[in-house]
Amino acid sequence: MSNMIYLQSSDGDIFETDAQIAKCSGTIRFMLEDCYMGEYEGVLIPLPNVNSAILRKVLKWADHHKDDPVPIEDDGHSVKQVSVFSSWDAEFLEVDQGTLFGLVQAANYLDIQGLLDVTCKTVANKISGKTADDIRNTLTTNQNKFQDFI
Amino acid sequence: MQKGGWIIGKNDEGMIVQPHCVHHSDDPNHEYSNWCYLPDILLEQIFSYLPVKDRYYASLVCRNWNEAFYMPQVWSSFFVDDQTLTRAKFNYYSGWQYVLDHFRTQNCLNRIGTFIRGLDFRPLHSFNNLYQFMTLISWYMEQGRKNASSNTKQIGDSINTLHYLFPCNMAAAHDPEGVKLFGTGGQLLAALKRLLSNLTHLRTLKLIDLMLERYDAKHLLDEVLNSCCLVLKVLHLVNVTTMHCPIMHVGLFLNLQILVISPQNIDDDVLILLADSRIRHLHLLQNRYTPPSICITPCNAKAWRIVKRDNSNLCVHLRVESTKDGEVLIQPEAPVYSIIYQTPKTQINSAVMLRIVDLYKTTLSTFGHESLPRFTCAKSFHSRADSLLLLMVRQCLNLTHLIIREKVSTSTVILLAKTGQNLRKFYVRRNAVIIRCEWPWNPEWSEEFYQWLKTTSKSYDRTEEEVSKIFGRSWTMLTDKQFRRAAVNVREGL
Repeated sequence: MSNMIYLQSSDGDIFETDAQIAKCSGTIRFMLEDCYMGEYEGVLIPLPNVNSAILRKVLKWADHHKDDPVPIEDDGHSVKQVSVFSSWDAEFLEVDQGTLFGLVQAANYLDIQGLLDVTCKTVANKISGKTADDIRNTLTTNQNKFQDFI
Repeated sequence: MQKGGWIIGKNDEGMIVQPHCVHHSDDPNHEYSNWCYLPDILLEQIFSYLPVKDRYYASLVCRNWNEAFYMPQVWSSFFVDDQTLTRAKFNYYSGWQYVLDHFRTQNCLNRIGTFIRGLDFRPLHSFNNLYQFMTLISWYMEQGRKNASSNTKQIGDSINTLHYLFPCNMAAAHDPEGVKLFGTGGQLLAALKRLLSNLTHLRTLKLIDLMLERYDAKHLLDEVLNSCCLVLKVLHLVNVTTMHCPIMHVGLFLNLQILVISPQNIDDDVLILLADSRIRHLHLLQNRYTPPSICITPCNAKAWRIVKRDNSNLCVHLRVESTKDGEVLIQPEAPVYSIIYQTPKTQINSAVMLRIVDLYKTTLSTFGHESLPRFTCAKSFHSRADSLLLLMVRQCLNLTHLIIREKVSTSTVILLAKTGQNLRKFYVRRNAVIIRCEWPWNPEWSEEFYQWLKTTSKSYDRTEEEVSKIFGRSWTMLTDKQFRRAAVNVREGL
């Protein structure tokens, strides 16, 4: 059974996607199951906080990870390791810092735990081993700088 | 306006760095980077992935990031190694040494002590620092409990995870080959036990490579059992001793779900205790400090039969880790679900393979060798493991994960995919697959099938295409890099 639904990004583009894939997002799952009471064939969901470029990437990620087992809820207080994720994810996240920022925010807004974990780890990888100044230089362009630390 | 920051230089000396480029922050049209406005919850998560030193540097980046430094979640796991909260001190005999900085440690525990939910000890050399740190934190907990007049949270109340990895390998600098294994004991063990007795909410406890004397090992878990008998869910107890020494305590944690233990620390009596518990996963781990499998006696089939009868949900996982070779210790009639080797030099061995197939064919679901081989695989069909692997896939009907790192031929890959009805994850290294079809004609096969096998196995692309068709989803052979990652993913899924 394939239920297609439509997602509208902030700049108005409409994406057709399988409901099963979109459901990796906690936000969308909640909407489909609670607001539409499970009858969501062909509904349109506006996502005002995500633009087309980012939404396209998010859907690509969701499509690749649709068969992943549901992560086991652990206490999450074991020591976290930086840089353990699949090669596909590593390639997927080789993007400029603007896109990475968009992905982190989108993962948070859409409540996709897996994507949030890998993007945050990528950011941590970018930061680690650098001094404050290097971090500023890595994460900014000439146009926008970090607010100065006072 | 302070723009530089303190860093630790190459020679481990603190120094101030000045920024190279000057920011023109006076410009009113200046647009700030949106990384400053990352929501707190995300900053908290990113900071929690950083080591303490990097966390400090990141906190100098901007004001919001500075606030993130003191968020509770950031400090939920606390890592203790040789240099945690230390300062360099010159010692006349041994030069510069890191000694625990008591003032900073107290500051740190006062400020973020209540946020700590997991403690991870990874000392390398400096046992003195470790001892002092454990004593300090135990003291804080004891004082907190004594003065617990109000409802304020005390240090240690939220600690639910403790990892303690002891560096038992003390190879001398001039003789790195002459590995000597020393366990902990004495005052260090006493400090650890004091710490354990203060932690009353532990859900995960990992004590690795303690290598105790028999008497100490028998009493190691006394305090834990007393304080966490009902709450402990995950217990790792690897190499508590090097000799045979069953630890009865493990069977007495009422809600324990996962137990990782070395095979020399269980025996029939422990198994019978485990049969009456709620344990779901029993991992028997042989790491590189565990004595070789021929020196350990497995438990009796009779005890395993009792376990199977009374705790039918129990899954046993066998795992060997070593830097050289190593063979898994076969437990007769155990309900073994997975066998994983992380040993670069172990080859598939027909005697062991046949025993595994014979004993575990009804349960085995995961089999494989992680990490790349450090030996040359034979090329001829009869000295390769192709036929053994096919036998295993044919006999073990529940096999879902198969990781092959040795040399196999394209035809074998196709036959394995065709035979394995339940095979879901099938990892093969492209570098180790050779284009051959050496299988003799089998009376079960039709003439067409044999022809098809021969033509399909003539190229990598055709093979991948046909295997994808059999599985009904896209399947490819892995590069060595992908293979290493994939194998780790399988281990973590267990």
